Amino acid sequence: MSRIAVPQPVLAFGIALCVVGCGFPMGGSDVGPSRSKGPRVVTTVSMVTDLVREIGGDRIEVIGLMGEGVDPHLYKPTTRDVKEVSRADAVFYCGLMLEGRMQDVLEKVRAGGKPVHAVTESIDAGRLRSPGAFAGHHDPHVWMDVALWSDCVETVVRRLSELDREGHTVYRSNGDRVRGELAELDSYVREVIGTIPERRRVLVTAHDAFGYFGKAYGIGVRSAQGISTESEPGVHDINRLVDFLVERRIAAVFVESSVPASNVRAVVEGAAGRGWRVEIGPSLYSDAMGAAGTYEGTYIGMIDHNATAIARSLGGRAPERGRLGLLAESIPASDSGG
Amino acid sequence: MARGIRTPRTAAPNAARRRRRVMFGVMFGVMFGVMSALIVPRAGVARDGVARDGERIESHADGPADASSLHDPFVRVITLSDHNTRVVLLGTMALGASGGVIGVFMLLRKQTLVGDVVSHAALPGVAIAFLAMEWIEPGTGKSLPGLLVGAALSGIAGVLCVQAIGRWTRVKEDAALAVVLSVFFGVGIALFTIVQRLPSGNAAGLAHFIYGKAAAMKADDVWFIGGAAMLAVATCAALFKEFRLVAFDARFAAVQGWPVAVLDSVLMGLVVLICVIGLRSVGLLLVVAMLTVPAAAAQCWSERLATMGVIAAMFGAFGAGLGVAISAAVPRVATGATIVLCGSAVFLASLAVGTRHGLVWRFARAARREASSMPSAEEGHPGQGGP
Amino acid sequence: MRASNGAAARTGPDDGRSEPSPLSIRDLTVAYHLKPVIWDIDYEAPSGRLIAIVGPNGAGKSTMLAACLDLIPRTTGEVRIFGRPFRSQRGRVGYVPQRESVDWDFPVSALDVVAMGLYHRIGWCRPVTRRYRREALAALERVGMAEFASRQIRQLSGGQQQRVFLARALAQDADLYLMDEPFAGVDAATELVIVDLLRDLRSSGKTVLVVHHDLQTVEEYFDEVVLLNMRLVAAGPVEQVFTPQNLRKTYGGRLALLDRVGNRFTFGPGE
Repeated sequence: MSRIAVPQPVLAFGIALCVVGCGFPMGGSDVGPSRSKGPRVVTTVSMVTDLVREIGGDRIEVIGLMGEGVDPHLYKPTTRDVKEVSRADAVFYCGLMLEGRMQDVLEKVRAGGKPVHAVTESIDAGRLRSPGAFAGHHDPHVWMDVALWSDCVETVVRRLSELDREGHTVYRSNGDRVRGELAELDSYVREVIGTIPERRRVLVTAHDAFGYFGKAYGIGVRSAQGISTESEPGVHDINRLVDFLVERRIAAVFVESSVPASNVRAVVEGAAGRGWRVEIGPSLYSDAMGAAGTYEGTYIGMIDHNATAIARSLGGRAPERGRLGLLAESIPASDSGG
Repeated sequence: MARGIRTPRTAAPNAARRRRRVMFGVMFGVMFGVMSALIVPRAGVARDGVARDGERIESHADGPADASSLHDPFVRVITLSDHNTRVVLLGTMALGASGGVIGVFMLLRKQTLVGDVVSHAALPGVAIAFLAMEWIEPGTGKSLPGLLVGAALSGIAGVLCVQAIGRWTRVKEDAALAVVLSVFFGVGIALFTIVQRLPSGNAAGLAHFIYGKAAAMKADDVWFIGGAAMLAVATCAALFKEFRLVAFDARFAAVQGWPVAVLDSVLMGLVVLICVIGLRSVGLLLVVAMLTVPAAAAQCWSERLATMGVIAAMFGAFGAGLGVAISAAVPRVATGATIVLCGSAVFLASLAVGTRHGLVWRFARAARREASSMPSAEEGHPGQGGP
Repeated sequence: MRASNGAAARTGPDDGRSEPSPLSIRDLTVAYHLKPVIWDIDYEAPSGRLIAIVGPNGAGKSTMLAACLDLIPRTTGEVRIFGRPFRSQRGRVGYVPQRESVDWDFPVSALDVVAMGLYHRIGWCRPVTRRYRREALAALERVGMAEFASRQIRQLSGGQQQRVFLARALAQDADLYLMDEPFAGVDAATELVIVDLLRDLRSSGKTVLVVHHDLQTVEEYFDEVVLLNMRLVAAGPVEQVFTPQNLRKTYGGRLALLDRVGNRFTFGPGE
């Protein structure tokens, strides 16, 4: 008479799961070419990864934890992430509470003496947004303002130089190059957004990621969820957004690659219920960039895609394939009359 | 023998019963009609007198919409003038009503926690379905039907594990429920850390299965939820006497030749159905509340099974409706949570003032007995009949 | 006085009747997890009699009933109801389970419980119509519970609940009744009602097997008795089989009880 502790099917199921889980191909982690020498730098969000990689160049090895389509507000570090962080020579993260669930890990590692830097650390607090709904915290989506993000270049250059004195000149020259590229990007965005007819210049997205974008380039912003995707909108919030769409005659709303589209779709349906048709524009990159290895998988490509998509969908003028004609898919122009 | 004595039930004329059946059918039809009328978006004239063409609108940098241009939110809720409110209302009320009916049967069989097991055990199924679909064809991971099928299968697997543990080990049922619930849920969370690293993982909104996103309900969702809810209620109505027999005396049912295991499975299937449709609205953590709270509240009002079912359905629908109304009137309040809170308020009220053993009446009766100096009638004498 | 040891004894009034025995058990063994509960049971019930099944606690009496009704699997042996397997004879068997096997807090009225005996005639998915309610009420009248028809079962006393169970079995209108301790924990009035009912059934030609716990009333109420203690000790007419010797074999060392019974026991005339 045998008494089994755990039913065998469950046990087998659990073991199989662990095995499969370990072997599953990860799209997320973004490991650069491995180097035998050179500092090992771990970064969190893909925008930070791109920035550090551009500035560090071949001298450093960059390992990004969050890849394409990952939502940094909700991201919980795995054991592997923690191991990477502890093996790294330095850690760069965005800061301003973007990586909400990783704060503990980062604090612990910093307390252990490792160089852990927020790329936004030297941004003057006066330039940051502090929307009331976020209870005193700053809006972390600073990369949406290209000029503001450009200010982070200096921080990265300085910190990398601290880490690796010999590479100082390389980092400095890379930094200058990047700043130049970003300046060009900034003027492109300003230009195309400026072509959107004024009465249609409102950007409605899934969550409040584009605050800095709106402030810098003169376009209104509204969203369903708040600053962080951790909060869920109630019926009232959805209704308010529907009101906004109908009253302001918004022609297009945008979904984001790292956030579920359900809220946006519900809002569109609500507007349709009031007789106002809203298009769903192309997916924007808000908290994560595109696939690694593609143009959209770089910071410049991400912003280029966003600006082009927004401009064309709201009735502005912009090249079909972005600033340099490098976008993977051509963005359709808006054809709704209003 | 006293042949002249008739019970109230047998004395009721056939006409009354036929009338009741007709009313039931009419009610279903009306509900269906109302559902279609309210959900289908109206094309054409925009509401609120906002003109369609040619108006210049200043764009604000990022200021809030001008509050005075909106109607008072309470009025809008009461007049059901928002499409989204209507949609969410219908969907959650259908869920609440069907959850109440099924919950009554689960309550009587003392299996209320099985609903909890099903909903928590559904989590790994969602993750596995996502991973499987991504493996087979990348990009299709977030196909909703696939995810719901995964959830259903996983939920059923959880229940089967509970039964297996109960049958082959020394572990008692309540411990088995707790073990299976936590193990499956833990596996699900672990799988989600894999999912969150995949490109379309977050966009699939898998985390929303845990907390639900009632406010983002669309018309399609309501058709699905409404259809499933009606199927569940219709099955319960058709198999009412069979379910009642099996719940009361399964041995007798088996001797009479009723397939007890099949009937159990059908009821379990209905529980899984409710959990699945509740996953997307109130989320898996709170779905068990939709099954248990209205039924428990209904117990305070009636002792007849059929009446309990109807009352539970009403309480479930009402709690859901009130919750949605509050979420529509007050900003920044999650809809799933308000629904459960309203349902709980109904339950507490029922505990207090319900006609069956309500606390208020018990206190009143005790006080009256204290006040009167007569000795009370002999204890154990059968009390008055129920409603 | 003769002890019969497991040999099949048919002493029904019509020996030459063509209809097979209402309950015919051959070589029945039931085991839970390799531990046998009853074994090697051979028995044929005579028709139209009131038969008591007695034995100590744990003797397997309820198990025997359950095995006959396909409620538990048989390890070996076969059971025939009126010559056919139970499956095909469900309509001819009425069952009264033990009162504790049910939760009497369940929200259902006495009439509803009795109507459950009619469900197999009503069929799937159909409601209980007035006609069936009338039949159920008639069954309640037979046990003297007509005025409690709409009362919730939790408000009934033990004896009343037992009567409701009996009414449910009556509603089944069977030819063979199997009852599991119907006299347990009932008041005197109910006991009289039950005995009257059993005698009514016998005079209509029904066969009733009753698991009975009270040795002192076996001779008074029943025609035949089956002495069971995991094996069949003896079976047959009460006068022949209900002897101190057989009782000692059945109950083992419970001498105090046996002596009390033995004192009351008188040898029948002519034995």
